[in-house]
Amino acid sequence: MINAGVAPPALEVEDLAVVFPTRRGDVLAVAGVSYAIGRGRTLGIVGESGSGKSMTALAVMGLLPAPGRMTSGRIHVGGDLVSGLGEDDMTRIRGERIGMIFQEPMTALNPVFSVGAQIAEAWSLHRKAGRAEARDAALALLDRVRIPEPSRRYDDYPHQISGGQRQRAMIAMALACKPEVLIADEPTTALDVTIQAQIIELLLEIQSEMGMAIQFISHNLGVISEIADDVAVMYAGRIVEYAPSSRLFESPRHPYTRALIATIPRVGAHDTRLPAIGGQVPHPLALPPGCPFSDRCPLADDDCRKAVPQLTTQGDAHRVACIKAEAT
Amino acid sequence: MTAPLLSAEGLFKHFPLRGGLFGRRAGKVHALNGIDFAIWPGRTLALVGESGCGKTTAARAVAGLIRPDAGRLLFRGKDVATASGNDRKSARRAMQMVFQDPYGSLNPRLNVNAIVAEPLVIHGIGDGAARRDRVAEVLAQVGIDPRDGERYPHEFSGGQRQRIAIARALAPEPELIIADEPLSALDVSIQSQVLNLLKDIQAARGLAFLFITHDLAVVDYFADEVAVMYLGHIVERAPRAALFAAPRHPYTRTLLAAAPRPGGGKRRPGAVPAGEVPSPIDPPTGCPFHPRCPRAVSACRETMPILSGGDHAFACHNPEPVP
Repeated sequence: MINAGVAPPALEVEDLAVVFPTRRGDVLAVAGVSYAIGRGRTLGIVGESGSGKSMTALAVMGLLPAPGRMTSGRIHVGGDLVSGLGEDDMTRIRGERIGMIFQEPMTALNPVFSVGAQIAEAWSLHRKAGRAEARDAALALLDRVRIPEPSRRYDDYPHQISGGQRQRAMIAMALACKPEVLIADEPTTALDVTIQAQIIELLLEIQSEMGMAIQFISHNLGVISEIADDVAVMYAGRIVEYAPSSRLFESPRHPYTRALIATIPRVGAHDTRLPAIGGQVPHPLALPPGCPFSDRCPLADDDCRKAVPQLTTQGDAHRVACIKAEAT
Repeated sequence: MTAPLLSAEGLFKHFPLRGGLFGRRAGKVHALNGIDFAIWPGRTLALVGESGCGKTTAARAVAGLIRPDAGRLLFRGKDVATASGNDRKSARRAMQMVFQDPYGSLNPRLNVNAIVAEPLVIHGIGDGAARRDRVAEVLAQVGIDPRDGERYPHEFSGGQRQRIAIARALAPEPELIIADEPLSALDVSIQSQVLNLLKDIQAARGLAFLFITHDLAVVDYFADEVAVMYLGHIVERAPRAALFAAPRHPYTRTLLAAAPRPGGGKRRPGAVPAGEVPSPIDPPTGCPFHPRCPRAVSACRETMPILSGGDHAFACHNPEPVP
């Protein structure tokens, strides 16, 4: 990247916290999360259910479901502060600078309009263009995301095309505004493995062409490994480890990351026993004192239960929130 | 080799589609197009494939939840459909199912004891006291505290619910567990717990498994034999090690190339052919994989290749060379 030291990151999140008030108390869904993604780079955020990975994405997009709210944090897109903007400004940011794709395309696609018309609308939203021009742009986008025979698919309704093609159509819609940042929340989770591979390949290809930053959220470490430059591992609302992808998979430092990587069955591991992580993800209202992983961690001692460990640098770009990390 | 515990011969199932004004037959879903497989005592057969391949229909046919249009299911050599009442009941008792979704598969109105005792009641096994003992025993085996037996499904996490579903399947002392994607609904850290549990149960009790999954890594970890399915056909069937060492069907190779590998680096372009699984309502002529197949030749468009080749069988006119 040219001017890497000067240009602001495409997306920068500082000290983000999200709270959900419930009858039993305030749930801290995201507990002070910071990260930055440079132009053309992909940050993979991996975590299990309840880790806060999706809430982080929704907060960035200004789409937190009620009664959730941000209690702290600043979000910059290309150096411009976007957190705290009003609803109209945020809608504009989402249309122009941040694109989004989700696990279920039907949440983004309107069932009563044709696929082509919706992409054309997304394209013309912030442009002064005629209908014919918008139609041509939508056809080009459909072709770009490799939907076969775009002119025939243009008038199809979302329910008439396959799940994989709906995902492609949603990607086309997200790309219509040439966003600086693409937020992808489990976009391949509902797809078959061969279609998942095609979609990842497509995203990598489009990223190298358009240069957008991608925040890719998944529970699947294999998928994260296939797309991410850097990886953030989340647990109970916090980033517990952050490292360049190859570093993270080669030498994970946090006991949770190590266990998570070791626990996945791999082709070629028939005669081994999977090292399982005991217990389960703690309920957000019943976190253990100190480190949230301490009740499942083989290394935990009394020191771990005294305070929540902070994310600290381990050399260049490898950060770990664990007071035992040196010992591992 | 001993006789198979269960064998399926030429299983065939088409589901009619109704549509139009008077519910006319509008076509049919070709779910199973004549498949054969065998499961040996104490061993695991994995049926692997993507959505629409027929693996769940095959599992449901084995479990007796649907009746195949044609073909036979032999349990210990006896046709389950034509067996006498007693033989059929004992075959049904010997085959128990674990479903994908531990939220939908447990009755929310029954407590855990009643859920796990249900197959004992259905099959008339034991009296009240014996059933209570058996329930406590299988709950302990799957790692659920029997003292929690009075609680209800909603009080348990997804992983614990799947353990309860496994306890229910174990209760009537089956010989075969049919497990349909039993890990898919669970968190990553819980999947390995359940997979280890299934492997332990198999080792301890010599159970056979029919394991339905889309995940080849799980197949390699758990299975002894593997059948790869595509659009209602078995396209390759082999012992686990042989299949992973030298996949012969291009679809098997595609599935292997598509499986994400943690730590394997970014996905390289071109490893997976374009296109999607065709509709099972209107399957292509010839080999069902030919529209996507990088090795397709003209014969593939015309005739369906026959599954052949003994222990390592594949249905392909132009198979991958042995590496």
